[in-house]
Amino acid sequence: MTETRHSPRVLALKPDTSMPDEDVTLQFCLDNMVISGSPRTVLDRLVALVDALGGPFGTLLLGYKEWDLPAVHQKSWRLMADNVMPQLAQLLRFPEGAGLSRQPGEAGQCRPHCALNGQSAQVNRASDRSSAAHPPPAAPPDVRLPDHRSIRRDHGQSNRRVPASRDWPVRRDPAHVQPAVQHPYEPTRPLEPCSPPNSTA
Amino acid sequence: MIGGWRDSVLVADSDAEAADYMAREDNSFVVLPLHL
Repeated sequence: MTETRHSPRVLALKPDTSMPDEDVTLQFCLDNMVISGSPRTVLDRLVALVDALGGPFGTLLLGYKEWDLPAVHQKSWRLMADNVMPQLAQLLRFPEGAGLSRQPGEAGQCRPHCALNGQSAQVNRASDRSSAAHPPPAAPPDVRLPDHRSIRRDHGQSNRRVPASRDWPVRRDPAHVQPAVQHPYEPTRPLEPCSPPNSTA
Repeated sequence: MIGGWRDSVLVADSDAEAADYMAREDNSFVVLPLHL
């Protein structure tokens, strides 16, 4: 850890580049790089992460490490799949049905630069509007990405061609580019501050 | 990168169970930063 702290790689471990290298301790990394707890705690912290990023993102990619106790991590993934992701996906994709509790100025506010802060008033108004005068927006369309797995499985036998590296970036006809889907984001519960609770330890 | 690196999640039956695992000196998440 000491060696890492004195290498350029330490930047990857810092939430802020102005953070002194000496503050990047093992405990700090565990507190900030790992989201751990019960399904409810993990869900809350993932929501806080979404909040800190300014809104929903496309894919949640988790690292899998089972170097010590595989059973612990296998159970973790089962709980993640069964108890956390369904609620997180519902929260991010169908926020209109979720309860709203966020108020501007509450302790759960994001950092000042967070784009979600500017949406707080709109979010709260959305919770008060009547369904007759202000019908809820339609659910976002189910946008599916190409199934790249099929491309890999057939080892090039498919008519779909995987572009060579020299073909990137692929030039797309603007007429075929779908407009970006705006997902309204409305947290269901008071959010924790963006900084993890143990970050000051 | 915003807010630092977070790629690891551990879900347990309870917060206490997760805390017990995280307190292990040889847990997998300890190994990760040590290998950076």
